[in-house]
This record gives sequence, structure tokens and C-alpha cells, in this order.
Amino acid sequence: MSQAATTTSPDPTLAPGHSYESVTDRIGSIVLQQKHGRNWVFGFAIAFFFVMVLNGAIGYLFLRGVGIWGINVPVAWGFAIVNFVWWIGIGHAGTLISAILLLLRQDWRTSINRFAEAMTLFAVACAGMFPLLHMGRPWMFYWMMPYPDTMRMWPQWRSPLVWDVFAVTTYAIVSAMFWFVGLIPDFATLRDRTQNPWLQKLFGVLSLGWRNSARHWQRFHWAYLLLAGLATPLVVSVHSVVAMDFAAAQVTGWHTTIFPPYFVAGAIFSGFAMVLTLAIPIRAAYGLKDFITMRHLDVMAKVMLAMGLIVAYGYAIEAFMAFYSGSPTERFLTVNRAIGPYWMAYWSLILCNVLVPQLLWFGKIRRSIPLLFIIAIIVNVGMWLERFVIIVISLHRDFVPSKWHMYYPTFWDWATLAGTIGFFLACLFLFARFFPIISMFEMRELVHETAQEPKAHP
Amino acid sequence: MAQIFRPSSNQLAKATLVAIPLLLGAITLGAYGFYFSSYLTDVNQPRPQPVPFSHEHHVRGLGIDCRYCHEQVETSAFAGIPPTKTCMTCHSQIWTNAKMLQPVRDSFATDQSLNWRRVNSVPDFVYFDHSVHVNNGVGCSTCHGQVDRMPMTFKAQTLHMRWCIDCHMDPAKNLRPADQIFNMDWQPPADQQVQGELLVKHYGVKVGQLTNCSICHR
Amino acid sequence: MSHQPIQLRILPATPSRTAPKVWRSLDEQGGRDQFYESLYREFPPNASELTDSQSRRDFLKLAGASVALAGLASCTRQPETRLVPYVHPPEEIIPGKPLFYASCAPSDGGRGVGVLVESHEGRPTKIEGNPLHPASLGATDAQTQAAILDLYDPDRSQSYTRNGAVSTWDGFVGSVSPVLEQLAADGGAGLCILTTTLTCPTQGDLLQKVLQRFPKASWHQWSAADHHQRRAGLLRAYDKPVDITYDFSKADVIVSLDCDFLSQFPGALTYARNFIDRRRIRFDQSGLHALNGPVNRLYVMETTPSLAGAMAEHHLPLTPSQLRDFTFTLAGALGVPNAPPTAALPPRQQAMIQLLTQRLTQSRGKCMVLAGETLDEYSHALVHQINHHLGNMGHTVLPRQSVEVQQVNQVQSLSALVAKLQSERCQMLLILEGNPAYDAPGDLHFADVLKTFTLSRPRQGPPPLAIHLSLYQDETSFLCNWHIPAAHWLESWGDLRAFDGTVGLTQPLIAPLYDGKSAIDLLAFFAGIVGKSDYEILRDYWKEHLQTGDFESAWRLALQQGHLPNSTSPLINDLPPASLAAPAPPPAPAGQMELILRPDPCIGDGRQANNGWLQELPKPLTKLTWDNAVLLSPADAKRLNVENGQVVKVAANGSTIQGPVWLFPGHADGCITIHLGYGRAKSGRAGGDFKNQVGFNAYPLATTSALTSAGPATLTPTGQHMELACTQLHQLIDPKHLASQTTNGVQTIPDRDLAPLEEWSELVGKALPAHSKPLSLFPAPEHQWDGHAWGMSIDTGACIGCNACVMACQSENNSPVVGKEQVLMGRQMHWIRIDRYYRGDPADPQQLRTIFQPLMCMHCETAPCELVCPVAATSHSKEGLNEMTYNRCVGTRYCSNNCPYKVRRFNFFQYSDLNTASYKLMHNPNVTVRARGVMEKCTYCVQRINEARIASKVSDQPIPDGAILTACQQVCPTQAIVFGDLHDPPAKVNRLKADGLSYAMLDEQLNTRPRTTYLKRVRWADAQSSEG
Repeated sequence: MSQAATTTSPDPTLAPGHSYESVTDRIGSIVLQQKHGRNWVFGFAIAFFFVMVLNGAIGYLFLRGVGIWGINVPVAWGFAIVNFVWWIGIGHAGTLISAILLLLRQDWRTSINRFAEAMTLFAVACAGMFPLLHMGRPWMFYWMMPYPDTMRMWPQWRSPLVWDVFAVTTYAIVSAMFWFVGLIPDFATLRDRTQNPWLQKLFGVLSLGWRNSARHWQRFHWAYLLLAGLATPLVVSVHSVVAMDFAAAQVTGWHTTIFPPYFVAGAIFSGFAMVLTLAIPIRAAYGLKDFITMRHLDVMAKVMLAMGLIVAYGYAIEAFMAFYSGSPTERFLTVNRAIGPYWMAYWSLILCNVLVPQLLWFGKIRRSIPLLFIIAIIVNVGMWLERFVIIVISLHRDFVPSKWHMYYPTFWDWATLAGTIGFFLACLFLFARFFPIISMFEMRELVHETAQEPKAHP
Repeated sequence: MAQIFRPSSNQLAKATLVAIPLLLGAITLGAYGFYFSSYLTDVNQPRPQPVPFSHEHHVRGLGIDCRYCHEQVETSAFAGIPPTKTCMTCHSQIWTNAKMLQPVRDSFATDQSLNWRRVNSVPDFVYFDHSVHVNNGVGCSTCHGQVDRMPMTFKAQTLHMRWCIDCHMDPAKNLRPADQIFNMDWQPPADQQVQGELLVKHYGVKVGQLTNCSICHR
Repeated sequence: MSHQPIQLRILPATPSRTAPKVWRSLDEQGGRDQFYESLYREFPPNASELTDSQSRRDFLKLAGASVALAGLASCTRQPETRLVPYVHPPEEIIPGKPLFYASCAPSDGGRGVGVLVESHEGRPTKIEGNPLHPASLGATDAQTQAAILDLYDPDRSQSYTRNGAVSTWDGFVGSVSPVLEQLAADGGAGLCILTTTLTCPTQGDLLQKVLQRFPKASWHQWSAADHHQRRAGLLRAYDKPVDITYDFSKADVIVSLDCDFLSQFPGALTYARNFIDRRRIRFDQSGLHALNGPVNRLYVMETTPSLAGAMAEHHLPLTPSQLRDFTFTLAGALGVPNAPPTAALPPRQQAMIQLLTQRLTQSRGKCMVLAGETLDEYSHALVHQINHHLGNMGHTVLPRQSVEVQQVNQVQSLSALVAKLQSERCQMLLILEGNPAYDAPGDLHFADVLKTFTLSRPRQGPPPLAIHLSLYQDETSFLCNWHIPAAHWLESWGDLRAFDGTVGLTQPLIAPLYDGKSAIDLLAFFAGIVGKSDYEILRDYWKEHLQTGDFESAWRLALQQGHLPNSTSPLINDLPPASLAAPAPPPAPAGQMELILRPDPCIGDGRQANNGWLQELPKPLTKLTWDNAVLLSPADAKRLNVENGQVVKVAANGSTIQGPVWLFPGHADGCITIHLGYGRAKSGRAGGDFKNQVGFNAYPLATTSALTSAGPATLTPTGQHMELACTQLHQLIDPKHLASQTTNGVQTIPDRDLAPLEEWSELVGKALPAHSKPLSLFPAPEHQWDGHAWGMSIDTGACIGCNACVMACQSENNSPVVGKEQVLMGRQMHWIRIDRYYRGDPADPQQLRTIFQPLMCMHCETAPCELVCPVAATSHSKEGLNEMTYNRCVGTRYCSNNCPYKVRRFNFFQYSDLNTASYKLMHNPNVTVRARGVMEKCTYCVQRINEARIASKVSDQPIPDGAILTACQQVCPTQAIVFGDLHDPPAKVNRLKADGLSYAMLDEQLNTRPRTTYLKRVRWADAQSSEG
């Protein structure tokens, strides 16, 4: 049935006329033959520069303390946590695409799941830094883990931050496994196709002795499916737990029951935006228009639109409840968001996350690659602003007015943010250079499925 | 095409799979061993002192009471280190020209304090109070060991927080009658747990409170 | 008993540090500027650590790194420590147990305030009030609390200097004695002595001896901002040395004409207590009762908003000239004989006059009228006349023999000295304490006079010699040939008269850290007394003058209690009505603004300018730190089109200064106020210096003719703008406003749980409102409290906002100073803060009401902070304390976010100075000095609770109510804070919590069940008369 759907669709998930060989050549060659010319080097250089900025920022941070940031009392959480939530959110799309869509047998996922997963991994890596960096005494981070120490102390299990530790580490581990298992057959392919003896050895080790035997395939599919099953709940759970960091506190603007679902929606929203921001340049750079077709972009745009609407609903409910609840502080917070000192952050958030995505109702815009790219970036910015609004605006004016205070990010706040983005891109550049950015074996399956007359399975 | 790996690599692969968890386990265990080793805790490590003072000789041999030198142990947080004057009360009479005691005489003459190396110490953020312990059934030897058997003084317990808490959570297993506090040879009776519970009541120890952070940390 | 102070010496710094070697080149020095310029070069390189961000960074970098390493090292072995016992144990010292010594502090403008000083192994660490001393009654003010930091200030002068070169006491004696011999030859005509206001009998006696040795020598006095108008007024009224004290316990009606008797006023602590005692009330089923006689009424006419104004039922903002007319009219209306005639007043003032005359005449003999420094000496005399007329003399207003050794008009006295210095008649000038080069009235140009004096080379006779005794190498020391480091009052023997004449004895807690000498030592040397210690001199003096049978026991008792028995100066019962000459002509209001100069509410006249605690202490009403400002009313600001922080030129009396503007709601229109004591040219790392000044110096504006109410001034805005570190905006509680909006400096804030802050006395006769039950899903109590349950009650009706508690807390709990930059970022570290809110219409200052609310950790029973800490660093004790364990904290700051009261403080950097040797001596050994990256907050002084608990467990005695005083409670002059055990039914705190006025902040909303509750403040509308 999916076959029928794909073949009759105006723009297929795979451009016609591709054979198993062509697919494998096209993708494999990116790793094996294709020269990574000036552009790659240039792009990587820039990314690497920001990695160095990150190192600098972290080094100075450890030397001086978190005081180098703009945080204060009352606004004790600033950019660090904003970035943390943002990156974690971005990660989600990858897991969603690779796990849930796999279970749902959405064939269009095949050509994007690989780098979506990679993106997840790198995003989680970026996110993972911040809980450590933002600590006053990072060298004591291990106290958050349960282990038999000389103090007879345990973590304080009621604290959402402890849940965080487990949620995020689990997420990181499962994503990494899922990603690697998916890579095994492709490693094998590369091992067999490369001429370079060293690469042969490398890919040989990585492919764990894959010999394409039917039993391998059978086991592989089971393992892949199981991991997908494992990863699926994480898509929901991880960001729900992150949402708890706020929902469990009693700060006005945090203490809301809708946070978990609305955070998850936001996460997928920003995640797909990020996938788009990456997919569009990659398909252009490596000439993968045949594999990442208009259909993919179109579908992803639709998902974004849907998630955007859920998020918008979240905002609406928040505002409504503030007045419906009759709680003066809730009401004050909402008004303060709209006309308080940070009104610009709030309204640009509405613009980026609610108004702009509405353009995606129009097929023309969904099909216009530059527009899509711009919208995706705008959504990414918007989702970052959302976290800023939630954290800073809620804190800077809370219950006791005498301690109201503004929060202004310092140079180091910006440096850290830019640094992680650089780190993220640097990782992607390396990924694109050394790994097949599209799953070859799954593409081959796709060839099989989309082919006019069924062939024997490879 | 040519084989990349020799068949033996299969074994290697399998071995690795086994080795990795084993290795991790070994590292963890090793770390813990080191962590609780007397190298870090200094337990049972006598420290050379400016004067080789022997508790064994003074307490066990001569039967001098702890409080003769550590006079404020019942009144102050700090048990008190005897001033040179205390040493000289006797040593101005006996062993007046023993070489070993030269530093003591010098200190007394020059008014320069003796400079002992501390054996039992807790970090600055821990506020231990001797008086409240010795007045509520915790004997010297419970924490300091049988000092009267120490020719050279050494640490008898780790003084880890874990060790403190163990007793603070269940003091009954260590409490003794008020007249046994300074008895170095005191051994818990067979029914210590029962006796201890009675003593907890007798001393009016609020066990629940002993694990308040502010009991030791301020 | 003379216990020998423990010898704790800090090695004196290298000569280069304190020795300005520019002296020889000084003749070529041009103006004063290059003068201090050159002086600056001699400053320690990191002198301005706290004020200059750059160097502070470097310092913090090192500290931070070391702490980081310490952290990493924490999982390795304990560092080896040493045990260094005494050789001969000093008597009465038990290591680990603090001792308390009674002493007497020269706060209160040179007058004595009895204190008890806590000493750990010979290190004074904390100052408490002495309950037996009439000027303290157990309380102290913020300045006295901060004196402990002065003692250990590393910027204190650490060496004798002669013409800039390091010398010694012997060197001084050797070189000065021959000169003195020469002077003595012709009766010491060339000798001038300048002291501050002198209330020390022994010093007075020594001075007489000096004057006997040098009959022709002259003695002058100068203390900047020491109630000169008041003194002049008294001299004018009675032309003999008279002092006046007040008995607030007898007063039903109090009228203050710009007199802030609650702060910076002789006897303020006692007055505050007596004043508030008359306002103690209880609200129970049977309604509202006054506990100590009818509740008194306070009416305040004021120029600058003051603490008294904040307590007043009615306050009326007036400019100095309006105030003058108001006083005259009031006198007339009361029918005071030969009161000067005045023109009719505007209706509002007229209404107030009528109200006041009615109230005052109703309660003759049970009222009092007070005059402040903005009134001239004539008006002061007139006010005394009014009190005579109302029959208050001897009842509420008590004339006494002056407590000063010699009560003179100090302005004339100083002018006389300047004249002498300018003419060649002075050869040797001895300055005991004080800093005239900085704080003399501008028109005397004292610094220049002194400079020319020390540099002049007369044809015959020895070169002139200026000798300065002071704690710091300050502006004056630099202009004198000899600088002698003074011994801090905690380092020396002495005696001081309190505001009522009681003689308090000052005894040293520690041997002088830097070999300083006390004024007594120096005077003794000048009097030719040799081989006598200050202790002997003091003792011998009192042996002579103390009429008692057994001196020895009396003396011992006096030392133990801190003051001599029945030494209060006798009352003068037969004081004739003041004689009134014709009033001076009113000053011509030429300028656009009337200028008012006031001592700074924190650092006073500048003598404590280098005290970081006081610099960072938010000023009671403006909440400014680290700066003074040109204070004016929002209306005037609008008129002149200036805003907060805008720098303006202020021109008055021929000199001009520059300073930032700060809007001050409630300030009278048409006048500006500037606080003195800032802009020091040579102070230290906190007080600033010539290169980077802290605040600006307003003394140049003062003149001998116009000291505090300094006549007309002109404001001209400049382009510049300056950031002022303010810890709380001017916030106006207003139910109408939902959103917060800031209009000309006043931020209107929504009225939430702040509403209960105050009640109008309409509830008189109303019944007790039903206490709302704490909401909870869970069966209460959630915690099984074991044994004690500590709780606190704070009476906002009694809080006068004097800041003493903030200082006491900082001193008790080793709180660090963070510097202006960090305060600007909202990172000040005070565990207790006093929130100040306004109610009413800011456009109408007369209706504006000020409310104070001290706020520290509430120790919630359902504490939001505990729930969210990932490592259980903050947790709940069985006694209901919300505990913060610093060494467990990893610094996620989640607890601070989740604290609705925002009372948690975070060490964003390594704020505590771990390097300076002297600070190590100062720290309270029972409180952990916090490191970088950990959260901290009020602990209810858990170290004191533990001390009491341990004592009770050792002695098997229960802890009686009142045995545990938190630092803030102990220091509070009005006893607004009460702490106790909620499980001890008769405890006072339970009585207060049961009161109808008691409420728990934010509890209704968040169900935090705070252990600290508040008593609402009751405003006594004038209509009701309170029943006794």
C-alpha cells in the first residue's frame, strides 16, 4: 500500500531510474571518492574557530566562576539553561524520525534518518555540556549520581535535576546505539568498496564482521526494531522530564501542567526545523536531490506546521489560564511578558513560532526551497526565544518586588552559545566527511519498493 | 578480494566483549580500594612528632587520666592540647635532662610553643564538639581507639562522614555508662543494643536530630 | 582587673607601602591635585581592589583558581595541620569558648555606647550592645557593628611616618621632646591642639595637665557634622554648657522639626527603644490594646525624608527656609513670649500649625518639640523656649550638665585655629584623631592652610611641626610632618561619657595590631607624664575622682559592667527660660534650590569611609550603596528635567561640585540634599582615593556660616550619566496597577501579599479576624517536629529601618563584601535585607507613607528550595530549620529560583577574602567562610542555637526562652525581632504569633508555612485617640 502511495505521489521519495548500484555509488562515493574541496575546508574552519571560542569560554568559566555570566538573584538561570533546553529539543526530531517513523513504516524517513540521528547525537552532546557548565562547583558534578561514597549521601530524588541526569544520559546512550547499529550494514558496504587498506581495517572493525548473510539481516532487523521501540518512549519522556525542571518548581510561569506535552511539541517543532536547515544545504552540496526529494521537504514542512499549531495552542492556553485562574501573579506575569521590559523577546517569539509558520499552509511556499530554509531558521530562533521567555521573564519579576532585577547576558553568555553551535556544526562536517550521510541499505530497500516490477531482495 | 582480518580476530572480538566490562569493574574496585586505603585515610599511620610522646607509657603505664592533659574535653568543643606548662609539672622534676625531652624544656625556656603534627582532624566545615559527646555516653576510645596502646599516636578511625553518620543514625551501639567514658579498655557488653537503647533514653539523646545537617555543618 | 590582651601582631607592611616619599619635592608641588596625584603613586598597587573591576578580576582569578584546585583535591587526603598549644595557658581562656568583655564604643558622635565584645582566643570577632549601659540597652547601631571591620582593616596606617619616611615611637619622642622643651620655655604659646568632640574625662584631665604645662597653648575642637546648630543653640539659649536629653517614655505627643531622633542623634538607640515602647500594642478578641500607656503620636516636619519621618503619622515636607518660618509661626501660635512675627503660611502648613497647637496644648508636660540641624541656632533656642512654655522641662525634656569636657562653638573654635595657623603664632599643631583637611568647612581651606603651615620656614625659631594621630594615613596625615598610627578603641584603654553623661570604660580586646598609640598615650607624653601606661593613667584618674569607699571592688565591678555606677550628669532643675536675642535675618533665597548637607546615614561624616560593610550597606531610604548623590524630589527632577544617575553641577557658596542625581520620593520640593563623607582623596580600597573616587566630596559646599543648611545652590545638568548601585527601586504599592511601570524614578508595583504590611487604626475596636487555616492536601503536620520548633516574629510596626540588623548579620555570619560592580548586577550578599515600600501618591509627598519590611530566610515548613536541590544540600531539620550545607552545595542555583522570597545568596565569584591576614582574625570561627560557587542564606544563627543546645545537653538544663538571640534580634534597638521555640507555649514568640496583627507572608498563596511571621504595622490616624 505504501508502494502505491509512493509511486502515485507527484514527487516520489526517490527520483526514478535509480538502481541498487547507483544508489550505493552515489552515497558511498561521498565518503570514498568525492574530493572534499575548498567549501568543506572553509566551512569546517569556521566551525572549528567557534569550537575554540567554546574552549576559551569554558576555560575562563572554570577559572573565574559562573559570575562571568549575566546571571544574578533573582535570575539565577540564564543562557546556560536556555541553551540546554534548546539543544535537547533539537535532538528530538532525529529520534522521532528514526524511531517512530520507522515503526509507522513511513518510507520517506529513510533518506533523512541517518543525519537526523547524527544531529540528535551532536545536539545532545551540546545540551549535555550545560548542566555541568552552569554549576557553581562543576568539579562536584558526580554528587548528582548515586554511588556509595564516604559521606553516606544520595542524590535528592525529588529534584527534577536528578531526573534530568538520568533522562539525558539514557537518551544519549540509546541514540548512540541506535545510530551505530543502523550504520553497521553501510560500514560493511564501505569496507567492501574501499581500496584503501587502512579504511578497510577501520570499516572492518566498525562493521563488526557483517557478512550480509540472511541471518545477519534477520537479526539486524530485529535489533533495529527493538531499539526503535526503546527509543520511541524517549522521544516523549526526555523532554517531558526537562519540562519538569520548570513544572515542578512553583515559580509563576513555570508551574504549569501543560508544560510536558507542550515542551515535547516544541522540541519536535524545533527538531524538524533543524533537520530542514541541515537537509537543504546538504542535498545541495552533495547533489542528493534524487534522494532527498521535494516530497521530504514538503512532508517535514507539514510536520513543522502541525507542531507549530500545537505550540501556538500552548501559548494561547497559558495566557487564557492566567486570567481564568484569577491568580494575580499569573495575570501579572502574562501582562509583564507582553508589556514588561522584555516585551520584545515575547513578541518576536510569537512572530517566529506562531505567525511565520502559518505560511506553510501554502504549497507554493512549502516547495520554495529558499523560503523553507528561511522559515526553518526563523523557527529555530523562535524556539530559543521561547526558552528565554520562559526562564528569564518568569524569574526577573516574581513574588517579592523588592528583589526584582533585570538580566543582561554578558559577552561570555554569547560566546558559549556561539561556541556550542560551532561545535555542533564541526561535528556535522566531520560526519559528512567520514560517514554515509544517507542510509545506503535502506535506500536500496527503497529502490526495491519503488521499482516498477518487484525484484528479488538483495 | 583479500581477507582484511585473520580468523583469529574473531576470538579477539569475543575477548574484547568480555574484557571491557571486566576492565571497568576492576577500575571501579581499584578506585574504591584506594579511596578507603590508609594511604588516604591515614588510619593506623603513626606520625613522627617533635617529641616522641607515648600515650601507652603515660596512660597505661602511669595511669594518668585523659583529662589531666586534655582538660577541657568535658567543657569545650576542643579537647585541649596540653600547654608545655602541663608537661613541665612533672618533667621539671623527673627526667629533667632526658635528651628526648629537650624540645619541651626549650619550649618552656624560650616561650616557643611545641609544634605537634595533628593526627585526628576533620575539615574546617565540620563542627565537632567534644563536650557534648563525652557528656552523653560516647567514650574516648570509640573514636580515638585504645590510645593507651599507642606508643606513637595514630588515627584509629577514618573520621569519614559515613563513619560519623553510622553512629549518629544508631548511637545505641556505641553508648556507654557515664563512668566508663574514659575507660580505654571498655568493651561493649553482649546485650549492648539493649543497654544502648536504655542509655539513649537516659542521656535524652534525640536520635532523629542527630542527622540534621546543622548538627555538624554551620 | 587588667587582663593582659593577647599579643596578636600582623607584621607591618614594607616601608614603601605606607611611606609617601614625595616630601622633599613638595615645595615644587603645584595645586592640591598633583599633590594627591603624586601621593597616589605611593599607594599599594591593589589598594582599590573592591572598587576597580580590573584588579579585582585578577585577584578573583587567583582566588577562583585556588578554590577550583581545592575542590579537585577534595577527593584526596586531608591536608596535614599542626597543633600549637600555649606554653603558659592564659587565665580564663578556654580554647573553643568565646569570652565577652564589656567596653564602650565612641559611636554616637564621640559619645559612649556600652558594648560587649565577643573574643575568641583573644581575637575580637563581634560587637554586641551592653544591656546595662543606658545608651545601648543591649542594642547598637550599624556603625558600631561595623567597627570590628575597621579594627582589622588592612588599609589602616601601620607605621609611624616622619615627613613621609617610616619612623618609630621612640623616634617621635626623641625628636619632639626638645621642641616641647623650647615651647614650654615661653609657656607654649606656639602650641595648638585640635581634638574632636571630647567626652572622655581622662583625656579632658590630661588636656588640663598639658595646658598647665603650656599655659599659653590653645585647645580647639572640630567634629564635622556633630550637631553644631544644636550646640550653638544651647549655648545661645543658656550661655553655659548645657545638654538636653529627652524622655520619650513620658511623651504622648512628639513634634520633630527636621530632627531625626532615631538615627545619628545623641542617644538615638535609647530614644528609639523608648519611643517604640510607647507604641507596643496587642490585637486580640477584645480588640486593640496599647500595652505601655496611650500610643504616642509623632508629627514630623522634614526637609529630607528621615527614619523619624517614616514612623510619623503626619509628616510635612518643607524647605529649610519654610521650616524656619514654620517654627516661628508655631511658637507664635503657642503663645511663646516674644516669638518673632512671620507672614501667613500656605493653607496646608497653617492646618498643620493648628493641629499641632491643639495637640501640644492638650498635652502640656507630656509632649516635646525637637529641633534638627537644618534650623539655625536662633530657632533652636526658640524651640527650647517652646518646651519651657509647654512645661515640658524636667518632664519629657531633661536639661543636664554638658557631657562634653568643654562645650564650645566648634565652628568658631576651628576658625580661630585657622587664623592662628595663618599668622605665624603657631609653631606646633597636634591633631588628635579627626580629619580636618578633608571635613573642615570649604571656606576655611584648611588643607591649604595646613600645607602652607607645614611648609613655611620662619626666619627665627624652629620650623613648624604638625603631628597627626589617626587610624589611617588620610588627607590630614599626609599634610602633617608626623603621622602616628592610632590604636583602635578595641585596642586601647579609655573612658567615654554617654549622651546622658554615664561614664563607660573602654578596655582593649587585643594588643594594638600595628603598634598604634591612643590619644591618652599621646596627651600623657605632651603632659610630660612618663612611664605610665594608659591603663594606669585611666585607673589613677578614677581612683581620684570616683567617690566610693572600696575603690578596688568598685573599679572591678565597673570594668565588668562597662560603666561607672551613678555617673550620669546631674539634671539642672532650675534652668531659666532661654534668653532670645533678635533672630538672624533669613538667608536670601538667591539660588534656584536650597542646599542641605547631611552626614551619610552609613559612613557618617567620612571617618568610616573605608569600611566595606558600611559602603555596601543600602542607605535606609534610598537603598543606594557605594555612592552619595544629589537627592531631590521627583517633582523637582521633572522641573529641572534631570533623571536618576544624571550628573549635575551643584554651585553654592562660591564652590562647585559634580555629582549624580537621585530621585527621592517624599523629599521636599525646592531643596536638594547631599550626603557628606564621600569623595575621599586618600582613604583605602573601599573608601576610594584621589585616582578613583567613591562618591563625591560635598564639604567644599559647606561654610562656617552655613554648615548643614547651606543656603542657596544652583543646579546645572551635564551630559554625563553615572550608574548608581541601588539594591531596590523606589517601589510604590498600588492595588490598581497590575503591571509594573516606572514613572520618574518611582516604580509602581502590584499590591499582592504586601498589602497586609500595614493597617490603619480603623481596626481599633474591631474583633480579631479568624486566622485562615494553612491549605494542604496532606494531613498536617507533614513534619514530626522533634523537641524544639524554632520560629520568629517580626514587628513591622516597630521596625524603624535603621539597618543595624543587616550589619549585625554580616558581622556574625562572615558575609563578604562584593563591591559596586557586583551590586549593580544584583549580587549583594546580605542575608537579611530591609525592604522599603511606599504607599500613597508620589506627586503628593505629604501623603506618601514609607513602610519597612526586614526580610531573611523564612524557614518555610514546606520549603520550595529543599524540594529542588539535586544533592540535598539544603534540607529540613527536625527542629524545623531550613538548613543550608555549603560544603554539599554544587551550585545549581535551582533553590534560589524556587524561593518565592528570594532570600538566598549565591557566591558567583570567590567573594570572601581568603588571603588578607587580618580578615582571618576577624571571622567568626563558628560559621563556615563560604567558597565560590555555593549558595548561602540566613540560618537563624544556627551556630548560636547549637551552642545553646550543646550547653543544655552538657548541663542537662532546658533552654530557657530568650536564651538564644539571633544576631539581628540582639542588635535591634526597638526589639522588633523576636525568636523562640514554638513548642514552648509561654515563649514570647508564641504570644506574638497568636496576635491578630500577625500574618505569614505569601502563605495564603503558596502554602509555604514560613516559620517567620510578621506583625502588621498600625498607622494611627489622628482622629482616633488610642485607649490605654
